[in-house]
Amino acid sequence: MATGEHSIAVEIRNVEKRFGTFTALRNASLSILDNEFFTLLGPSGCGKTTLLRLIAGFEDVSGGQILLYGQELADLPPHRRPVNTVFQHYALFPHMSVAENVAFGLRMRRFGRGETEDAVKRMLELVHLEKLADRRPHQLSGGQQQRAALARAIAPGPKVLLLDEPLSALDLKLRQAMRLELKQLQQDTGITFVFVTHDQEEALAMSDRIAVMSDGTIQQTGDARDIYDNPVNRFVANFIGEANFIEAELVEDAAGGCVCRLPNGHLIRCGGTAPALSGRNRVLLLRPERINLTATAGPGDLEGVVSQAVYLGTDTQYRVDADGGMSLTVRRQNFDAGTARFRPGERVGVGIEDGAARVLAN
Amino acid sequence: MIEADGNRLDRSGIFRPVRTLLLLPSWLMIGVFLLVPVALMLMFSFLTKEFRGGVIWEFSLSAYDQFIFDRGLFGDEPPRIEWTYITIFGRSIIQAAVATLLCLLLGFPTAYFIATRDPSQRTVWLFLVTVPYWVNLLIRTVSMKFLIRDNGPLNELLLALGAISQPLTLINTDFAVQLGLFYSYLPFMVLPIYASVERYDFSLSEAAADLYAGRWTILRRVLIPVVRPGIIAGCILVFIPSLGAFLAPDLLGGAKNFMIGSLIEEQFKGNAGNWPFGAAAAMILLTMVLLALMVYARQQSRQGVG
Repeated sequence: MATGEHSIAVEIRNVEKRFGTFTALRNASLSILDNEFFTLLGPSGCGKTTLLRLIAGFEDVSGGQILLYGQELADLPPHRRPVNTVFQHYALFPHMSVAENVAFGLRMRRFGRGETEDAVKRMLELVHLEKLADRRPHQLSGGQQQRAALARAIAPGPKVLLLDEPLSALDLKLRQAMRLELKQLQQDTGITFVFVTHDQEEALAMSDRIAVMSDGTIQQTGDARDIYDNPVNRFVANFIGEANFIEAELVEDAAGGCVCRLPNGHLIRCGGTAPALSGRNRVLLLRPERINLTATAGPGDLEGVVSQAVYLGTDTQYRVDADGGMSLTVRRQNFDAGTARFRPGERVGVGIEDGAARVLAN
Repeated sequence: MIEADGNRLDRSGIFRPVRTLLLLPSWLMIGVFLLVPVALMLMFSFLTKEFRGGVIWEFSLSAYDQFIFDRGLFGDEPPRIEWTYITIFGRSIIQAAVATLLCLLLGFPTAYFIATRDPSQRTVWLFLVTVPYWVNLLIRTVSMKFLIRDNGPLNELLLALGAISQPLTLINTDFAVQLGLFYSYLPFMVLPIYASVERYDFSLSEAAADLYAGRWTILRRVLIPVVRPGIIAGCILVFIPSLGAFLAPDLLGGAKNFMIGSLIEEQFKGNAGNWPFGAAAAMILLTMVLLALMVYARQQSRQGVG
């Protein structure tokens, strides 16, 4: 077991998974801490669900090790692993009532009758289903089925709860409400949650830490802010949030940040720690909300012409053709009637603060 | 004109007179091939027998009376319960039940195996299950008789393997009849169970394993209960024709393994028959099957509500 503030709940060591000639997961390594809300985030086919199924034991690893609190899991079948799963389509037993579904795991673990009844009652209260205990799953709404599946998975008291895109089948409003409930549930129960999703907003809203995956590889692991502000590569930057990518030339590399020359000759100071790369060509990441638009260009600003303005309620999204051939996406918040608005064709000043841009590794 | 409350359209949105017209072929079909024959049988069972086959058009309860009571050779003794036919009935139920059980024991794993193959292979396996049934039932049953007779290939094989020292007497036994029925109706068990298992969501098995259930527990507590409608359908489809079968008992069971189907068949064969008695026996059989199905249907609907 690891020492320090947190012990490691799940450790993935160089795990490989091949299906025939297809490699679903290559050389994946991760440490998921005890009591953490950890999210595996990536587009479909990136291997995130495969990794979850490997932890649950539904698939066998082709190489590497998975450790649960220091114990190697390889030889344990799913029914001997102290982890439980919330399935994407819930997989509630259709021939049992909600209460029977929740009791299933407890019965299998040979809890006493009284103990089982108490635990079922407590679980149903936890997910607000106590009034629907005798219903069959098909008599529940999507959100209720979701909660029943959660109660069933938490009831036996797993050390780690695995959640496979559990919100994807719900409509938007419900999904947003469930995010908060899930986070609350994790904090109340103290169970380590491993959550799989392709929805970056979901990941940002709930997670303590996130692993971004693509093509069977873990691209980056870190907390939400870290991944958003300091993405390691273009894929991560693009997958989480919106991004402008600008080809630039490195002019000066100093400890406090580097200076890069944009294609139009403009110099900007980048934030964060710049990756050590050979040559002078760099790709910069510039988040749309970090760019300012003004009616008249201030000193040190770029200038450009608005080519598109899309009103999105809280924000307005602009497309600006900056002088020198750069096209930028800009997002400005709509505070009140006084917020400056720009129409397509208008000439604007484009302000980029020092440190707003980041140098990407590739 | 469609009325304001729209009651000239039924739930499916079809104009009522059109709907009646569309349903006509179904009603004709059910009427001609189902209701009329059953009504004829019912009528014949209440008529008087003619000695060289056929009926005399005169109302009589004697067919049912003969089934249940023994009134002596000349019909003038005090009635005693006639056990002959009731025994045949009981034996038929047991034989059909055993055949159904055999079909279930082999049919369930077979169906499960096929349903869990790659979708492209399933058709081939299903095709293979049905191939033997392209041959006429009579020919298959006669072949079975040839295979299991005292000096037939099965006994020769077992002797050659040294598994037995004396040929087994299989022909003209209960077992032969059960084997014949089993082989006659096996696909009727496999196909409905296959259809159920094919629709089964295997993430339910994963969920059960995830919740600490071992293989047998998953089978017993999740898979079988969920595919139960298919199992029940298969059992009904095997049990009912087995109950009324006469080829297998006649050819494989010999005279002492007489079943209800053979009894009915004999009443309509040649000059020795007794049509009202055959019709009465058929009606009793039909009523019992119907009652059993109704009890089952009622239980099902009660479970659906609860």
